[in-house]
Amino acid sequence: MNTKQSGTLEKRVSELLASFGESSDIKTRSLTLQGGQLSACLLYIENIVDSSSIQEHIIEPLMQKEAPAEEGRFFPYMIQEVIQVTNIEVIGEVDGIINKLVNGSTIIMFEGHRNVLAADTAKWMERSLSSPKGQRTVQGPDVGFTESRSSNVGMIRKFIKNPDLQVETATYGNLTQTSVSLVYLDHKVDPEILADIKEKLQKIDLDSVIGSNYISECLTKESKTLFPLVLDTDRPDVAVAEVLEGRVCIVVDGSPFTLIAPAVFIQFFQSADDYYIRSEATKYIRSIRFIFFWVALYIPALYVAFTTFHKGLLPVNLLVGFTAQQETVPFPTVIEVFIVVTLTDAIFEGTTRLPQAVIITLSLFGAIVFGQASVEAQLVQPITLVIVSVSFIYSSLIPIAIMNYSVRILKLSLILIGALLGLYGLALFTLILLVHLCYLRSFTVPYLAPISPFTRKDMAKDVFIRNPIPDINKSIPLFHKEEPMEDPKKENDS
Amino acid sequence: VNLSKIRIITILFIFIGTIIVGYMKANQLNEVELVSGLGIDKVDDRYAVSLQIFNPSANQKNSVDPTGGFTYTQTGRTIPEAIQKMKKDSLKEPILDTLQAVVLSEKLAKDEGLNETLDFLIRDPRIPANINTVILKDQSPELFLTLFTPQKKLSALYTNTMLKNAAEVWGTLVKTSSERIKSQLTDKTSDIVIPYMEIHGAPEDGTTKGNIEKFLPSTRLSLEGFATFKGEKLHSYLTAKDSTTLALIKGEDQVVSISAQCPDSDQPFTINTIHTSSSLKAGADPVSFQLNVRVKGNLEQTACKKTITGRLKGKMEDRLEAEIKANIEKVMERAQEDKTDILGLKDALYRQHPDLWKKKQHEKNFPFSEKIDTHVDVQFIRFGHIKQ
Repeated sequence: MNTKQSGTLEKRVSELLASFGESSDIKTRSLTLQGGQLSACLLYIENIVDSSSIQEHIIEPLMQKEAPAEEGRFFPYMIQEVIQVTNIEVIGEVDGIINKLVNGSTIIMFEGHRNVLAADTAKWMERSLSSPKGQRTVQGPDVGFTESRSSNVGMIRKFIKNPDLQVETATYGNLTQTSVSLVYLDHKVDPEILADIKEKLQKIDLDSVIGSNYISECLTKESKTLFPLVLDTDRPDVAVAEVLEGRVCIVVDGSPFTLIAPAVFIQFFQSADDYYIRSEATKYIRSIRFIFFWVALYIPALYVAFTTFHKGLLPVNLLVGFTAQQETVPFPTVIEVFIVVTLTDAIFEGTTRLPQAVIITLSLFGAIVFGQASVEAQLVQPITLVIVSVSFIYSSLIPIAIMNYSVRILKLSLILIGALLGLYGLALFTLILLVHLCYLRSFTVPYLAPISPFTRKDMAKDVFIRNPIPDINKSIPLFHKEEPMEDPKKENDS
Repeated sequence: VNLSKIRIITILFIFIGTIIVGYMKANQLNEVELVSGLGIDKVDDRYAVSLQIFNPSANQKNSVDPTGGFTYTQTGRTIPEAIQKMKKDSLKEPILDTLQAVVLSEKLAKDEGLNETLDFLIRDPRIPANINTVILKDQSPELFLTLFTPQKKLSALYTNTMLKNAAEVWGTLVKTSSERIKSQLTDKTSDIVIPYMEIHGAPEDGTTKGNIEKFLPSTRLSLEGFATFKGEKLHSYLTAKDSTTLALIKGEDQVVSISAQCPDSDQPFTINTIHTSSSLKAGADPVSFQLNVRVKGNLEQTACKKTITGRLKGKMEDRLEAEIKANIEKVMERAQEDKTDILGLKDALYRQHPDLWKKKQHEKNFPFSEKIDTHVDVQFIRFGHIKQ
């Protein structure tokens, strides 16, 4: 052990303080050990440490014990017999000391010793547990993840009391040093998928990691798509269910939303409540969600396409009604639909993100001006309002809100193409959309699995309808592995 | 599929799309006129074509405009020529996709026949394939399409609704799309019947708003019965009663009231059918026909004096059978006099004895001299109390 003296204690303390730019929240505490021969100094950052722990478990024992005479036994003696903190280390380099300090440790320096002790006294500010905000349920557990990574991992541990549950933690973000944990079940997880995720995580080179989306975007940056390839949830029960099905849960410190990978299309239509209510009762609503999704996507575009190109295909009574309404409004249908759709999105954005006080005014004006006055002023046809509202309501029913954003962008594109090319355009767009969805992979798993590639075993269990728990509980869905695409050139060569 | 192939397919589709855009007619709804009725007449060797147009504002909520539409009429050597001429009168582009009924005048059907008109109706891609055709007795289609009708704002809509309701009695016989008529005209084994309408009352009153301001309109429309055809040309009109009997012979499942005289007095009783069916069998050597009609129904009203017993029930069934048989025979006589095969005798022989049909088809009097045996079977379902 290096005991070479390098400057006095005071000098070394001020050197350390200087590397923090004399930051005012770094506190020092000098003391003398019993016998008055050896002085020591404590360094810590206030507000991130537990000061009562410092007082009871570090200061008090130090002042009551005498330093040993033997030089070589000094640090082992301090660790084993004096300081009463669970996590304690001996550190020599300045970088290491600084790192410990910002992570909430208390640094103990002794006169005449180059090495220091770093005792873990971190106590981060965090809120208590509360209800999940992202997905509400009727009968499910009412506790959500918080911003603390360690307590989130603890919540998952609470559900799965099994030694197979593995947690791997590393830090990302050169400046923020955010810790990120991979949580998975050892024998259930697909090793290839796990390797793929780890490889992508290793490539992450960010200055800051503030929310879970920072990690999510790094993981999926190779796929250019509007659809979410990672499922995020703030419900521990959902995260646990996915981990039990062999998926990997990524917990990011500072974000109450954990990431589930891989995520396929159908997962965004599975609500936690589907599993908390009898299967007979949820069969209907699960299956109808998929219909709602497509209706929400297509109904405004079909409305525009039919009234612009294919009038003859509409029932006559409906058409006469449409015509009577359109006689009075100034804009072509497509522009009208565009205005109403964007206005709906604006109201949605406003009510989601603006301060509480503004929302009341906003929704009041939205309801009156948008719903009533625009029709009375003969700016918008009532039928347009109905169509856009139906689309909005249906798209809101998708249980994982992130999918809603994809619907909104796709909806606008569909309206445009419906106005330009009619049903032909819609068919074309649908074709491209399906090709894209079939081509999409979430961490090597086909996005449309198990619909395409079709797996009868999985389809029958928990896709469009959820079967009773006893039938689906014992087995995990297969992750679809395809034969690698054959290169036609190679085939010709051989 | 190789990714580059998908790209090529996509580019191809977009390319085709851009070409198609040029041919697509993208009119906003407020730039077109929706046609509800098409009337065709023949005046001095020229077609007089009338188009009835929806007036959308009359169909709006809180509308005070009682005129449900407008009618344009033009003449031309062909029907499209007349429609083309109409464009100079019309406010906007008329579109025929919304057509509700085609009305043909008696004159057109009698003098010229249906072939040329049907040819236009089938050829024109803008005219939907399922539009029913009706014959208008005596009056001109132009007048018909300018009438004010109660409850429905347009006479074409009125006609369409009437036809739909008449299906209860006349079954599929009221479905007279141009394709259907054309196929019957072509197959040579059946003569067609088409429903006809009649205008009652003073026609001049019917074209004013006053017509629908009264409880009892002075001019009204009625769907009378079937017009019978000989080949493509109109021959005669059947009465409403004969038309209903014809539908019974043709095996339509009817819901209809039939009355007969009580067995014990000269008072009538009425049955309301719930199911009717018939079969026409062709017998060979010599050629003869056997018509079996089965009627099931509920007793609706009776003025028979006697308390009803099981025996009386049997007698009532017999009375009803005789009544229906008389009705049927009357229609058969009529058909034989007119020499139109509205009963479908030729068709029955053709289907059941194709060899005989080959021999018989050129005989002049066939099938108007063949014997037809009729057998009617009536069965009461709900009869009420029977005294034991």
